[in-house]
Amino acid sequence: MNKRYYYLITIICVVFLVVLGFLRFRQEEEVTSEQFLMDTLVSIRVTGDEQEKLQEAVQKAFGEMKRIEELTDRFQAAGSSSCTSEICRVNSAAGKQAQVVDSDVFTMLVLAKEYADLSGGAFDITIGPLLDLWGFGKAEQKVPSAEDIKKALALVDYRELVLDDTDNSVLLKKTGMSLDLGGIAKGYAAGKALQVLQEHGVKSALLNAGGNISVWGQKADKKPWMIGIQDPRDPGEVIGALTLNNESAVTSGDYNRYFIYKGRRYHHIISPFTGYPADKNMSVTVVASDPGIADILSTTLFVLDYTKGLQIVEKLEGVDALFVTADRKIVISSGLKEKFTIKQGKDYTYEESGLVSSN
Amino acid sequence: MKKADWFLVISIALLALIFTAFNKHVFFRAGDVTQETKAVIKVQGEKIKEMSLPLKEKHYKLEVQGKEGIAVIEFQDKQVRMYESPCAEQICVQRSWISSPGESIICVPNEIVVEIESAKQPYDAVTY
Amino acid sequence: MYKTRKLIEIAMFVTLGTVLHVMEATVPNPLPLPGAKLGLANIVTLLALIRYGFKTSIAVALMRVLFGSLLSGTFLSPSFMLSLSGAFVSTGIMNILYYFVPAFSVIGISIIGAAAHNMGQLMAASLLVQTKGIFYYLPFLLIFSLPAGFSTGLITKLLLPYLQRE
Repeated sequence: MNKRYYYLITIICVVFLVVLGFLRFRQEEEVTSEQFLMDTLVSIRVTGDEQEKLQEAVQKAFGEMKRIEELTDRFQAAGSSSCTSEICRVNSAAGKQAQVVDSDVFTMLVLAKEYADLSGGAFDITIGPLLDLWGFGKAEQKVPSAEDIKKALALVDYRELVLDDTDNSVLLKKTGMSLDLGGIAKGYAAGKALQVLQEHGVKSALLNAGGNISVWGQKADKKPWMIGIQDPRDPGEVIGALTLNNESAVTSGDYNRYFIYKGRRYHHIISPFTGYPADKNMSVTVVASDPGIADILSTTLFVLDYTKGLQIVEKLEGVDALFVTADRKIVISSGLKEKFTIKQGKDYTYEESGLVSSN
Repeated sequence: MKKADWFLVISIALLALIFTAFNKHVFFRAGDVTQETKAVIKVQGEKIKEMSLPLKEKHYKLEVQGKEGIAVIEFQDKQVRMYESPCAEQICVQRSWISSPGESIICVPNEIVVEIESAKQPYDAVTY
Repeated sequence: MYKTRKLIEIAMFVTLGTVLHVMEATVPNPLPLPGAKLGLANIVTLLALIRYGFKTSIAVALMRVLFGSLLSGTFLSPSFMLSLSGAFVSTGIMNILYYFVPAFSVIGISIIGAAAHNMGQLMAASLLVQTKGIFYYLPFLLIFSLPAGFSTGLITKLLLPYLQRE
């Protein structure tokens, strides 16, 4: 054989290897998109092989969240004609008749009731009347009278919510009761959106629904996801960071939504026990593999004293929490020891759960 | 080393200098690798403006047309805040000043987002 | 006799080059500059070039990249692609200089080899990560290639007399 053929073969081999290498290690595509949904800004960042597929995945995920939003929106004017959302329909039929609802709504309600039971009512989706009284979510906010609060409190009781899983029907027993899925819908929708993204084959996803963070898959640089936790008294700062892996971190804080009345600050997380804004914590961050459960629990634990909160968290598998208490203590549950790094130089005292629960 | 070698050393050094200047003016106006901090303003998901921080002016107010009306964004040194917003709850105005990379002011009803961005963001996201 | 000697020398070059390649890949980079390496493996490429010319130098360069990456487990990985492009570009340029510009000494050729190596790597890197942001490092790498190329050139210059002794 002519010597030239050897050269030719060598060159072809080298070129082949080079092309192969570049193809294999082409950097992953990334798509970031934002939409105003569920009363907040939702941003999704995904990586994968093909730009077009990623765009489609993100749009489908937004669509899924939009669907959940439409099912759970409470603020349609309660009337005969305009009441189209499932929740609105159940609320208008309170005390009258059971309503058959969409299976996603039913799943959320079952989940909500389960955690209401678990927390002894610290999480209560029948809190609608109280929220209406305070005016959150509406243009006008006021501090209600003690008497009004007492009346509204009488209508808040998750045990009066009847769920029938034979036909997915829902009944609020008393007239005037109303459901509010504010403490669960965002998280549940995030879970659904993540599922959509995964089904579309994204390699990694970061979903940020107004500070509710979910991460999935591995980042392009193979480093763990680093999620900062906002300092409740200094919005420009973080108190520390979490390293997450296919998990969600959801924070409930007293600083996100509030109004000031006669020099006092009233925030939007109303305790179903007292009828007033919960004052045990400045913020509670919950880390769980399911964003829906993280969402429920962050609201639940925010209402509770951290010692009670820790008891609940430590009983649950794969769920962890970080409390920033009203007296400037940062307390973490045992599972966060490995995941949480505190930022030094902050004016908080720091405790790990082991010290608390063993006493 | 021969004369030509020294010539080579000097020309490579010069080339490096030229590239440095080139970098500043051609490649990295948007701050790809440099650690420039900027404020990104988005309305209804569309990026409408990017401002490098700190601005040349010490105080600067920018009017932005949002979904509900005109919002006023104020810049001071490295900080940005929503000075005025037509929305009902005024959550974005209460948010006050932001300055570190990754922070954002979000006005939901008016669909305006102000974000501080930098190539080196310490966190992937912040939970709040 | 000559053929045997050539065979032994080339085998030695490839072996040494492979060892140096692996060594440099193993030692962590102390500089805050990605891709900044002394390029010790360039020594053998240059030796092969001066001793046996174009074809041998290319063969030695390619083989040491191949064996080096196989040994360090980076075959076909991004770092392999970078090494390959770097070695290819620098060997090419050194050949051109050696044959067509006699004004340069061994050290000069080595310096331009180091500079070309970095440029080749960056070009491959920019193809891989699809961003020109990576050229931000170019001026720093060029400056770094001066002392790196000088030292490898000096080593080559000192080694040559031993090889040329019959």
